[in-house]
Amino acid sequence: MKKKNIYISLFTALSIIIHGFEYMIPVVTPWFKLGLANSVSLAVLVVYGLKDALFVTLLRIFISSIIFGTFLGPAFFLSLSGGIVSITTMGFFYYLANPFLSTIGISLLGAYSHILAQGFVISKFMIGHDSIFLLIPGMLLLSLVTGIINGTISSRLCTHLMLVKQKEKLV
Amino acid sequence: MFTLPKHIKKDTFLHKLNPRIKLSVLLLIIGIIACTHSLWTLSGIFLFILIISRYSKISVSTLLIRLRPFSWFFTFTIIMQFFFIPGESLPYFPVGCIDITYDGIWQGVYLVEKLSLLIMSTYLFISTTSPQELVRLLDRILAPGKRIFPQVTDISEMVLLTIKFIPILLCQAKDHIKKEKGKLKKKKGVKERIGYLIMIVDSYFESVIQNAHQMIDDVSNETSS
Repeated sequence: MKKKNIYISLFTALSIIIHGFEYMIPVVTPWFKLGLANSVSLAVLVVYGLKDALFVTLLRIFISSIIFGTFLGPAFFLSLSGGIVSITTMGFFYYLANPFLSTIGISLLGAYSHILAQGFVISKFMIGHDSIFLLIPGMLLLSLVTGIINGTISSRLCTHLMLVKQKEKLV
Repeated sequence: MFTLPKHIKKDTFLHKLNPRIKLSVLLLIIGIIACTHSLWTLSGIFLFILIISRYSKISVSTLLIRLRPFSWFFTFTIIMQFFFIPGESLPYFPVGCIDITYDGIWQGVYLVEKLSLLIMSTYLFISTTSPQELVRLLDRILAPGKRIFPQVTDISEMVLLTIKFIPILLCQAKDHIKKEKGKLKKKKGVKERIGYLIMIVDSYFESVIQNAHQMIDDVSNETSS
């Protein structure tokens, strides 16, 4: 197996651990999470590119759903929709506005798109009602905080990953 | 922190059944639940789940316990339907701007029933399928992804490797949290705590990355032996 793939597996495992770690952090609402696992995906996006970041995100969602027993349940579909939309949005803006947007800026856009995608899935496929969008402004405000936290963490993680990439000479 | 594994080991027909058949049936059930508007169909699915749980020796109470983490989501769904679905009002309503309708109550209960059935059916699938079988199944599901991710030659190997890394990283995380938890409690104020949280996560990442080379060698040797 390629060394890069081993590292990708390691980063996926790391994001799953961080996802579990989040359950220990008290939050303001019961369904609200910091989304720290996304900071690993963002760092992989910056260091290795969109394809690998998308792969890490998908693998994390599938494996963690198997571990936590939510595979194919409502939480799985929410996670999948949010994860795919946010990493694609972050990838799009990373390539589009690379020198002008910092990791925190990209992370913020990712957090917003994550919330909007989940809101869309809940309204169309779960509760069948647009009333969820009444909560969106509040959730977007909370996303501002999580986006900044995740962006700060991933910018630090990026420096660590850059060192690994240089050391291992991974493509 | 983690509640793994969810698989309940039993020697029943459902446990022995090919995971692909189980997944196909589950997807069919999910499709029916998503599309149906009939209470009779939902009752039929509920009856089917009860029969399956009996044959797979998984108690109904275990299935119902699985619904507990979703109680907030159910409450939210019901409240949203109660107050936002127009129709014939309940006696003594509307009170000011608050109106609860019969249609709203019906819709709320109906949606919660749908979501509960969805959760119970997926739990039956997870609890009767071993993690190894799930990983193999995951490999098959992600197989078309090989076209999109040409650099990934063996997804199942990567999945297995990820699962091997988890306990190692979990141990490191536990040690790290033990060391830092006391210090976090001493921090007062949200801003200071958030700053410290970022520092903890960052130092954890740093320690993982520093040990990555050794960890990868260990896991690679274990895999090859």
